Amino acid sequence: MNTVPYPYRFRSFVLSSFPLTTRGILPFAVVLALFALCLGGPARAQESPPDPQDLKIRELEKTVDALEGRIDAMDRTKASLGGSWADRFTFGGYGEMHANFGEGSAPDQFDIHRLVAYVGYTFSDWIRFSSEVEIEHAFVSSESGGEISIEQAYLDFLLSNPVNIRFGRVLVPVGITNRKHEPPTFYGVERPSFDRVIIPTTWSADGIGAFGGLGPSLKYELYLVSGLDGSQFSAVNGIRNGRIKERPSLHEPAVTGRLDFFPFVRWPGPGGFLRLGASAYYGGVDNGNQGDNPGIDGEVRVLSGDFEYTVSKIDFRGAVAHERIQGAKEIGNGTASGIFGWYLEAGYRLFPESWKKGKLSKSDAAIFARYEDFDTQHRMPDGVAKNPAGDRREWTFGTNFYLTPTLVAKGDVQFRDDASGNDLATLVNFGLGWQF
Amino acid sequence: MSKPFLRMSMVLALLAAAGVVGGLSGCATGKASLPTADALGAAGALPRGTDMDALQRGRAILVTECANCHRLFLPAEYSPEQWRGIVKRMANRASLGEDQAADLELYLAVSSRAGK
Repeated sequence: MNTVPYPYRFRSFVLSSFPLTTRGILPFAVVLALFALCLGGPARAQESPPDPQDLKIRELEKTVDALEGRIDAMDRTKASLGGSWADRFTFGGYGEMHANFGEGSAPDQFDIHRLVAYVGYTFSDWIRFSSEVEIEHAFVSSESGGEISIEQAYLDFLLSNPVNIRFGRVLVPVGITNRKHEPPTFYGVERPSFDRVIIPTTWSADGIGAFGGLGPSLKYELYLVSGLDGSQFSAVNGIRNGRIKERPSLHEPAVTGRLDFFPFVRWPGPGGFLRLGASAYYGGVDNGNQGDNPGIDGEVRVLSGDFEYTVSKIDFRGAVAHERIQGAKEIGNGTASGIFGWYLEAGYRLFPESWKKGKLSKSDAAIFARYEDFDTQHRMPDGVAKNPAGDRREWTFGTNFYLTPTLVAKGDVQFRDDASGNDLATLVNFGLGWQF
Repeated sequence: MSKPFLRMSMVLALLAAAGVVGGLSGCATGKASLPTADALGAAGALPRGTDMDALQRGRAILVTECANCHRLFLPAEYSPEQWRGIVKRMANRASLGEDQAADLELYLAVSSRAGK
């Protein structure tokens, strides 16, 4: 059992698709290209000088707007406290359909990947219920890969800004995509592979915790939740199959939480939005479904950092995570004692303002590039051989076309590589995603 | 420093430089598109008697709550009337209190009007 921390090691990437001499400069070329588009492309906001003849009318409009806002707020208060039963419900959802094509023997398929319904209910102005129920892959049977699951179902007790209580099935607050996974919110047809293998989205757990704001620029979440099943960890999928989706054991619970810092809340920095996040998960792995624990002596610890930054029409995002698994040798399955991965992504929204008319008045389009480097065999227990197929790199290039802000058509190509020397199929994906 | 680590550091540095230079060069429209309460006041965009504290809280909620679950929609992307309906729909989903929803709606309505 290896319990000694060791320094992170960043693995060199190899893209067999590109000549050797271009591999090192490729990331810079992509980012430079996007930056050049920023400098040359974005339409600057045109601040037209106020028409003196309209000043008085505009002043009146502003006053009316402010008054109407207050009246609406009063109406909402009235509805939440004494409105009809139906008014207390909120409904929503999201979904995504994909067409995946792969080189060679890789499957070409149509996949109704996710169909999700949100239902919420307001018990009072401080007690709320929220839920997310999901169907994956269209058909559920003992032989199919589809599933129906409750991904979120919790009650919020809104006590004060710094301290609110949440109880039920919650999203483990690690990384970006696990908490923010509706298709219009991320670039690419599929979620980043980092968010499938390293941070196993969608990762839910059952428990209780607190959330709130520590001042206007700092937010937190902290939960005591059901743990992972270490017996399902593996060489290539890491901790992913250790999630327990039905009735998780509470034998060895876990603690998880995150902090988010928003530096541009108080002052307008360069760009409109910057979030810096740090998250962690720590718990035992002797947990099973319906109390059937595997009898493993071990622990898993996840540390992650992530950021999102929007400057003008450019979106940057990235995440890094390190996982340490104690008891990996006892778990077997080629489980590593250390797992590590990261990704960086840049997108540029290039839809001309002059095209935003008529049916396209709320449309937008973006191109993006993402590089991922992740290794589920980063550090091995003594005497356990490393499986090079766990050491992977991916480039994804693509486009998102937003017909409306919450309905997006996507297309991308993914170049993949691993340390095993196998020729991984290049993938081409198309998709349609929505949120309502 | 190993070559892979150096490469990642350079990618990060380049991303940061692109963001900072983009902002400083005026590429960013952030200052105009997500104005602070003080900037709105200085621009004469506030109705008489506007609660400045409520405006500041509303901007903070937009940045920390709304953009936490989806991309940041700027105030000018919708009219004050549209924002009213959007806030009404989204406040429950985001577990916003009534006062928070009112502050957010005030900020969006005023900023939307100012951005046009």
